Amino acid sequence: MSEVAKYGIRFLIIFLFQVLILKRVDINPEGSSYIHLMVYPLFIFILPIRTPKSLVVALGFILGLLVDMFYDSPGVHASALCFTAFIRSFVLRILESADGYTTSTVPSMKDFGISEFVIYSAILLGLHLLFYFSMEAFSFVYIGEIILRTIASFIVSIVLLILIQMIINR
Amino acid sequence: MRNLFLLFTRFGHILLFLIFQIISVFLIVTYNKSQKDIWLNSVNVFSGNINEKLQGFSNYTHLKEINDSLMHENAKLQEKIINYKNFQKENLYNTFNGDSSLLQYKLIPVSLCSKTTHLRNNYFSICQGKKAGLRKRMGIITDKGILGITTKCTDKFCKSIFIINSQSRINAQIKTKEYEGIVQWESSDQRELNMYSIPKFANVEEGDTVETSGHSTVFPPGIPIGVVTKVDILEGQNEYKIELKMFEDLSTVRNGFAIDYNYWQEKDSLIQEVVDE
Repeated sequence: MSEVAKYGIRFLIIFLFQVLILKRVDINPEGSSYIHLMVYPLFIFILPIRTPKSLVVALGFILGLLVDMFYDSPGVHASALCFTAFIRSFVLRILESADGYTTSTVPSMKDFGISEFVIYSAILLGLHLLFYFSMEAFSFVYIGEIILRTIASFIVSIVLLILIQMIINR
Repeated sequence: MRNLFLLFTRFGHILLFLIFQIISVFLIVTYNKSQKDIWLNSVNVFSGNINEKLQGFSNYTHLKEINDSLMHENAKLQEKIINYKNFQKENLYNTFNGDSSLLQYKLIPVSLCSKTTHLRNNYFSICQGKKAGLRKRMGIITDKGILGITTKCTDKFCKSIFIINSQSRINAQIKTKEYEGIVQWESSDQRELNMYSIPKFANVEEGDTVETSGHSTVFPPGIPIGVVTKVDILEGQNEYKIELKMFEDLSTVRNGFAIDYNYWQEKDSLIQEVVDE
């Protein structure tokens, strides 16, 4: 199976899982909306390191826009995922070990090991959620609300994201 | 070209990121109601601030025009008052109807270019000249008093003799008493004037107001000059020596009005004929 087809399928699986299943799951307590389940950034996380940075950013924007279509919020997810895709290279550089990455390294659980992958995806997901909720509120007047939502959503989403990564990774 | 390509492979993702962010923000503020409201509100606040600054700046740049128009307005009002007073003095039993043939004095707003106030013989120059309707021997006043008389005019400037010049002589009278005298400047204080030729039976008191008499073609009647501060009777003479304090502070004056008397040629030539005989 070629690389493109492999990642194309992952793209579809993650996207459909997000918009068809997670969108309908509401685990919020009655009358509140602090927890948003978000695993679609996973697709950007697991792209091979040698993927051109421009392509990562473009894929982030496209996936975000597609998610937006199902969430009726044009631009919000696109903006956030585009941001996440953009900072991915910086996070990868910070986490780079002394011997560096080889050309075939993929930031997955298999190549990174479980602890490093959790740290890597936690950083990116946290930033993604923070940016997403900032864009959703569109004003730092609601900074308390933004941080609360980020933390609540992060705790649930990171568990789900790791689980899905474990399934895909096989 | 190759360099450009290299530049793009190096920094293309930053460029793409910025472009996508701009598109996203555009989409957000176009299609999402709450974000749209926040956006419009913020933009309004921002542009409102900018507009306010700009308005302040343009107000500042228009100050000169506003000042000029106010000067003209003041000149009009002063003109009315002066002509009204003059008319009342000449016609006790008629009422002023504003007929233009009765308007004997015309006021021209002027601004001072330069002046000296610390010399014995002080002069000032005016930034308007013959083109603005000025001529030689015109009185220059402000709303609080008189400044001087023009002595020489070119197309754009006029040289004038200050009231605080040792050579200036102004016909004046004590208000309400109508005794006429001559005001001149002798002291070194630029706010003090002296007045002579008032007969000693005139009963002048401190606090009386001195104003122009209007018996020349230079100043209309009733322009205030100053207030009496000290009254002396000269030894062996029949007249007062009066000290005045001027209403106007000459060292801070910037603007004034030139007085144009409609019948000045007629009146001056008549006086000249009488003198010649």
